[in-house]
Amino acid sequence: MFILNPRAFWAAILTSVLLLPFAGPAAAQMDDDGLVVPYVDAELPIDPAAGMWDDAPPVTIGLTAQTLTIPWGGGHVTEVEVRGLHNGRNIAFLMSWADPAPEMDLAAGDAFGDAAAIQFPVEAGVIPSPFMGDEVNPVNIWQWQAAWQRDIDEGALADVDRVHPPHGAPYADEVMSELGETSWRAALAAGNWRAMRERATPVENTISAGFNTLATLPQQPVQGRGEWEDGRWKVVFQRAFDTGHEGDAGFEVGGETSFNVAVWDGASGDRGGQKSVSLIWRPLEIGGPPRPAVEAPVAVETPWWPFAMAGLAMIGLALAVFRIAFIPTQEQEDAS
Amino acid sequence: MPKVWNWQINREMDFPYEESRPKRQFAAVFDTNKCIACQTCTIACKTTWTSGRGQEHMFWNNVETKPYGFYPLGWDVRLMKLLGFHQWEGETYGGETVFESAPQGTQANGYLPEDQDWAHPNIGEDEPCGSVEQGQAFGTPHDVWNFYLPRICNHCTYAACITACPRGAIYKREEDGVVLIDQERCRGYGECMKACPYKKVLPNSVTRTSEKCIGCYPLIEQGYQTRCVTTCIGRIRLNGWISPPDQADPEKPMDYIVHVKKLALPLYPQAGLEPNIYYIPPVHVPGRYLKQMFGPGYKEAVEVYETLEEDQQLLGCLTLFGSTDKWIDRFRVAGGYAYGYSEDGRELVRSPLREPSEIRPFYDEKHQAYRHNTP
Repeated sequence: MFILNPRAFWAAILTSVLLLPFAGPAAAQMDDDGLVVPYVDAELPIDPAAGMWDDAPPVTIGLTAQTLTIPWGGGHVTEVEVRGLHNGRNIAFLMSWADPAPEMDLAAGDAFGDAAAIQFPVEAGVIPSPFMGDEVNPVNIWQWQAAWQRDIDEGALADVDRVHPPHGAPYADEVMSELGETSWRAALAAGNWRAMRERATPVENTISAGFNTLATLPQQPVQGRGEWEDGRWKVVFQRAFDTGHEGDAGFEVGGETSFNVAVWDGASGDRGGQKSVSLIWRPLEIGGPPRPAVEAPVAVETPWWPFAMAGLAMIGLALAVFRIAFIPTQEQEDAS
Repeated sequence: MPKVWNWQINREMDFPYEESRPKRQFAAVFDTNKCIACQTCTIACKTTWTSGRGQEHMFWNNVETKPYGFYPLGWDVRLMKLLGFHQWEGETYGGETVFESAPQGTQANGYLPEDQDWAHPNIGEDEPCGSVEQGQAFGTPHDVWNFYLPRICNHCTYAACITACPRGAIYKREEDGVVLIDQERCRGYGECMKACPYKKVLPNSVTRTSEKCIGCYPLIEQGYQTRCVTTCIGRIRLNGWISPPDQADPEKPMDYIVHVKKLALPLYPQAGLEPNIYYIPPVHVPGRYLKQMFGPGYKEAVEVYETLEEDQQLLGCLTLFGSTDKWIDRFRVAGGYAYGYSEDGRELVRSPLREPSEIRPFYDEKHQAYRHNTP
């Protein structure tokens, strides 16, 4: 069995202390490649195909299968492009990804629809666990589902006629009275958002404080629209900056927060934890409104010598650690 | 992974949670020898709980003909395939349970039925396992056989549906062991449908959530037995509380039938869920099939059933089946009667072991006529 000698032990402690500033949770869970959400002086588009999105700088985010909590799954969508726009009152995001086979139903027992979600810390500036938040710092998740989009677009909700189209005679409505329509729907009676018969938005506004805790928020201020065309889903999420509700992500003009995304490929059986995810937070920079033009500042050359000094100091420390840990002392040599 | 004791497979097994048994455990005994597949239980359940749109295909209670009836299609054949070749070493199960054989990244070894699999609830009805040859005579067990298997949720001690739900939306009630899906939290991911080896969780196509047998909890909370039990015209069912075997109380009908007399057996105990619906196995079916379906206790159970007439206590207990709609907590047999009592000791029912009957002589002296049934 390997046992650390006291010198190596202290060397390890020293190394850890030296590396601590570089290994904080924020650094480990935050990607450099962030999204800039520019200001536009216009109404934000809810249409995913609107030309205004071309002015928003995209960021491409790699996705991976979810293997942190059971059930594992996903990995069928490997990357998603995200853009953002704001006009000082509302903020909008466009997520788009390749999907050769759109799946818009989830009413049958073995069918699961396509979906996409974007997640923000409830409190801008803090870094919750990227894995659906934590008890101290919850996250606000907006989830769009293709099935809900279809509910709205077609004006026909999930029903047995749609899932299993009748052969010949349509479903006899007189068989089931108004009372019957509701008295057997336990999920509807329990207030389950999923079972709602009227839907104003295809985006569900939820809060989460870690795996297993996702809950629908009482307020549903997120609007959205998804369209599939030429092998690609494009989904818009849009919300007012300030909703005045607890649990909604905080955004500020000129401020910064972070975000994280997930995509479900229904045709591959994705649902719930079986999804393609971006594991780490991305910085989200919300542009300020344009300021009056000012004179360009004079460029200042960055001095090189402080970096050289810092580099030398690091090398010195590393050598010291190596010396303490691995080169035996006279006593140790005598003992061996 | 924690180890829990599963008395039905006579060994410890891996389970995602620590062993935790409810204060009381919902149970029932079904006598397959008396079931005629009339489906009265099925319809009683259907009209009570699943008459809504989106529930058309849904039978929380069903009765299927074995070996070729399935609801959903092929459920137990597929379960046997998933568990692979396995055998019992005496009373101990030598294979792996659905938890022990779970693929990486899942809690239980299962499969998600396809939508069409629910579309044939009465497939295989009355089909025997083979054809009866010319001149063939029946002995016991029968060479050609079938039997009816009534099924509801087993309200398992180690419920796979609970372990599989990523939302923690399924729970087992402390007061009665009934397993329920929280309809507010369910998001219809179907992980429970996939994990349940008995396939007793079903999709609702209108609410887009999963639903299952609720053990008629509003009834049992008021001291009544479930709909499927009380409506059974063949009186093949009895509800009751069951204890673990080391705490068996011979005055409780479930404990007496299952633990003391070992007459009723769990369904596919090798899955490892410790299911709580117990079956008196059909006496005419070959042992190999009974062993696969009910475990190694089948031989003793069949023997006990065949000599039932000699056992007044057991006969009395079975007489209480279908004798009352009230929940029988304890029973006793005395003076040719079986008595059922409530938890507070009230007599709920008194049932004769033999119905009073009169056998009249063939020749009626008074009317000087023979009594016979031809007009």
